[in-house]
Amino acid sequence: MEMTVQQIEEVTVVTWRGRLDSASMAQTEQAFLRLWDEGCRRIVFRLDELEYVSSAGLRVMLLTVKKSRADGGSVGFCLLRDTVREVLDISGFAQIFPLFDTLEAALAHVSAQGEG
Amino acid sequence: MSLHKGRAKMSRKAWLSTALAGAAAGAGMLLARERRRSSQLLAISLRLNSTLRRGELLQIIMETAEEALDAEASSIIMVDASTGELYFEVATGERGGEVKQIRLQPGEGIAGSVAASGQSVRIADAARDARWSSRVSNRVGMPTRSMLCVPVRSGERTLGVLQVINRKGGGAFSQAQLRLLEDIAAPVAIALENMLLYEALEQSMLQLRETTAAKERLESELKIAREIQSSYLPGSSWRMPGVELNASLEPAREVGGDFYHYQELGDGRLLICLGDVSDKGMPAALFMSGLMIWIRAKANGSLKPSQIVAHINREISSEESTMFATMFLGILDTASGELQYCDAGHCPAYVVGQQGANALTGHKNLPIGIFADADYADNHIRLSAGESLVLYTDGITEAEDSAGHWFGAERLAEQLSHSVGCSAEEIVFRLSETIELFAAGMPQHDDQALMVLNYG
Repeated sequence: MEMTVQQIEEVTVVTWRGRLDSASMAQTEQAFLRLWDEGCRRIVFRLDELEYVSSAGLRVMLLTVKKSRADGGSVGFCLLRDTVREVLDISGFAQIFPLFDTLEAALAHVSAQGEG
Repeated sequence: MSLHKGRAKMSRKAWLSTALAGAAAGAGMLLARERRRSSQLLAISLRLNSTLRRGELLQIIMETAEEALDAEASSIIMVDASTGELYFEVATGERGGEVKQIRLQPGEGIAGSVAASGQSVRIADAARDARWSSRVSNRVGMPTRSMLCVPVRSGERTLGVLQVINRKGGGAFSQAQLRLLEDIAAPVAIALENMLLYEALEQSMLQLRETTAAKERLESELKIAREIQSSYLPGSSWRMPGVELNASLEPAREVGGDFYHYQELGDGRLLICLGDVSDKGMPAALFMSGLMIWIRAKANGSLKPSQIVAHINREISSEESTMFATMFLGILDTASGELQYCDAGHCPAYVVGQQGANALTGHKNLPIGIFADADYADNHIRLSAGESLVLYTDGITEAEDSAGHWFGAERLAEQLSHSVGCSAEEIVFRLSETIELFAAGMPQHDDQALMVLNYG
């Protein structure tokens, strides 16, 4: 699992690469919480290079959504591969995760959510 | 410098003793002295090799050196291999009961310079020698007048420094005495080397004992946890009129988060349930155990599956936790074959019959444990006589072979399509066997649960 962080205006774009599973769960979770503690409240996760997400990985995604609901903020996931999309569909998470086909749509979503 | 003065004095003395020896007895006397010296060194080696215990050995080294050199005191100063510091122990009590360790910086004092250079030193008047560290002398509490100091080496490594202090009866140590101390340093090195090896061995045996004890304790605790966990599960096979049921559960570790349950609700109705907690090992096992209690408590003939799931979800959801469970929970009317079920984010169940193996594609709900107020809805199907319902966890479809390929849903459907007409027990057995063959000894990453219900 690799991760890069990029700032596009007021939105933090995090790219996850590789496998998000029980082996990479703790590291990924901590990296997210660090960003959150630093005050990043609008985060878009780019998943076009994410090959696999296990149920442990779903917990990390769930954490980001729960945090944004509890503390105020907005997150979005974009550019999902079919295999990852399938896991979200089967597990029912597709219903509550803000998923987007393009980076632009995700950026627009988190920017709009943060306002007002 | 006092060292030069000492040397000059010594060479006069050495010259005098040689002259005297030659005059008195000639070469025979020298030979006899060499022999005496050899047997003295042999006796010293034997004595040094009598123990491997640090305290005893250091004592023997010091006593031996004092006796052989006719010195008031001696010390053996060890080099700490990890820091390069020199250290020695000083008895602080009356009878040497308590011991204080004194440490010197690398290169500090005469011992330090001898350890660093590997060159022996003979000093006639220590108090007036610039290399003398009064720090040591003060702490030892013995005024030092004369001394010999030799390195104790094993191959390229300096293990320490051997010193004798203050020649008895005053005066300085001779050059011959320096050579004798150098000779003694050789068996001392061997003895110290053996002592260090022994200490390292003892240390690693101690560590081994500790880790083994911790491992055994953990393993027996896990065994107990596994027993507790399996006590929450009903048996692996069960029958009632019109239904044959078989299940298996194979945790990846000693304990796990997969679970299944079945229970008669009266009026010919049967509750079946199979699920997967989003973690492995102890945290998942604890969550699963709590879940099993809630399922039993909420399993109620007057509620629909979605209502039971919603009740359980409310009980186990928390703001802070991200732990969740996927679950299939259904209620079968064994008279009509009507199955009402709630799919809480679980991998699709299969119905196996004359039309092959078909995945159920009903309404998907969220897994349980995510949001306390989540809504849950039911699906309906009707099982025909001779059909099987197959529930499983993703440990089955994500079982990996040596190339890292998954067993996958397609292989599962293919295997199941050949199971028409088989007993539930046979289907479970064959599928478990197929997965095991597929994995070919690769470690199991996830818990594997499987439940087959044959209807009619």
